[in-house]
Amino acid sequence: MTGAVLTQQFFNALSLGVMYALIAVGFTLFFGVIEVVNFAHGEVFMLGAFAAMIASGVFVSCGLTQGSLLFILLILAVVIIIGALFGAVLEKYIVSPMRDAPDIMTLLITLGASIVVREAVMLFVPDGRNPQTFPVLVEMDTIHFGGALVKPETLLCIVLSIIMIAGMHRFIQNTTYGRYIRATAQDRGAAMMMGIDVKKIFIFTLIIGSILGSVAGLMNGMTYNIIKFNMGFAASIKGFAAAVVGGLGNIYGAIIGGLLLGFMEIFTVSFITDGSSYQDMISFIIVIICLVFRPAGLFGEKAYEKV
Amino acid sequence: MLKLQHVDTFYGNVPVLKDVNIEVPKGSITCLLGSNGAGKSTTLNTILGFVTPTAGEVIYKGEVINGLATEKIVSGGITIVPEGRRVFPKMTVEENLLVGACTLKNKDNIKRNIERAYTMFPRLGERRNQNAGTMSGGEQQMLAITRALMSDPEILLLDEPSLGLAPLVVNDIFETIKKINKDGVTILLIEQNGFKALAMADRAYLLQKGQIIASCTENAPEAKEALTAIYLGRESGKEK
Repeated sequence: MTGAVLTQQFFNALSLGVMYALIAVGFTLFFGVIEVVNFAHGEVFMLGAFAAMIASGVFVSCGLTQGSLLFILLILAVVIIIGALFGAVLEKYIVSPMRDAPDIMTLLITLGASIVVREAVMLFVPDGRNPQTFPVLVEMDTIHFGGALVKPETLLCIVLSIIMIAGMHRFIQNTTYGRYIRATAQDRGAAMMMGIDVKKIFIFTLIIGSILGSVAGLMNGMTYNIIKFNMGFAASIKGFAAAVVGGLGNIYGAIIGGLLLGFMEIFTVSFITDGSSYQDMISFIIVIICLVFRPAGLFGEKAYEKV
Repeated sequence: MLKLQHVDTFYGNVPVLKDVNIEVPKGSITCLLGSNGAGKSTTLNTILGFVTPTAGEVIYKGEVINGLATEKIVSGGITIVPEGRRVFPKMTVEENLLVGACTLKNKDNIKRNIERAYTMFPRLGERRNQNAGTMSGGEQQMLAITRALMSDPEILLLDEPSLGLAPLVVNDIFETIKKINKDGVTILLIEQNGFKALAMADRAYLLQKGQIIASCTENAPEAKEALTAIYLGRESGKEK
């Protein structure tokens, strides 16, 4: 095992890890603030990727240069808008009507919504049943790090995720609305007594989490160049696992959980003979071990009593 | 200023309040007494819109407010110091105060009210960057009171503010309530062991099993003694 391979795998693991972290942060936000487990969250990941693919086609036919800064920013804007819309609609029409119903109902209805969205993409996107080739958004040369070859997309995704997560962190910690979100997460009843309109806060939270999810989908497309209508399912299971390992409700836990899972997977693939067959099994064995010894997750405080 | 007229409230199928009539005149300290489970907190929840009465009306400044969303009622000028304080434990003192001001739009007013809170309780100013969950019960109660005052309420509801506090701290809290009332805020005070509360009240109601069984509507020692007698009679009767 050379240093170059190690460096290369480190970057792969980091980019996968931050992608899981983006999804996991959504799960953890929804649970911490709204107290729901949103199983439709994987679909916003898939929608982000498909929106980017379709938008790219449209922009190119409008005469925009592929790879230009404007082109990339426009695609990012489309992905963010789709994520925000999905989150808002999900809260207003799917999650909020189930507010006073038992948790299991929310679980079922979000699972149902996720199947509807997934199948709709399969049916209505041309040739949606088959894997789609994701367009090349940036054309840059492979970057050399010592002997390691790193795809520019990988670096771009890592940087983009760090910006997204840092931005979200700043928003939650330093803005007025972020403060209301934290207050609602810590004591919903008291937040209402202060005059906070918690319905607005719920919509806001779903919008933020869904934007992170749709951007993760865009990154997945850029990194692996292939997207499929059912890609959200596996991603949501991984993202949820990462959130649970970190401690549902804890944002930093979700980030650590995502990175942990990403590194685990890539290192299984690269350092064990025929590792890709064991990838998911080993990851989830780690998840199970984590939960057996720390049922509330690594950094969990309130998950245990609530679930 | 605030009136409950023939209010019935249910939790599910269980009746909690039956034909409750309470009047809180402007500028008064009105006290609602009653033992555990009498329906005191339900009364407050009904006023704040957490539960909707099945019959009767909650009238605030001449308008019926039952059925309104809680945030509308709060921004109308009714705030609460909830039972058990309910400060946001993982936010700093200052952040707690800022959340309390969420119905205010004007930044200068928010700043002024924060300064007012720190003048009222200098200890809060010293701890402005400390997480509220790490403070003592008395300090948390100070924070809960100043947090409720952040939105410049016209009427302040206090749900058992003395609960779980040392006697000396309780004295401080009651002095503060008197001061707040002198500054023009109408008070509806709820207490379980309410002799101290009764002593400073202008009006008092005694709630038992969801019904008002006695009241005194004037600040007169004889009337208060009569109410105390009923209260004690019921209490000692319960112990047998």
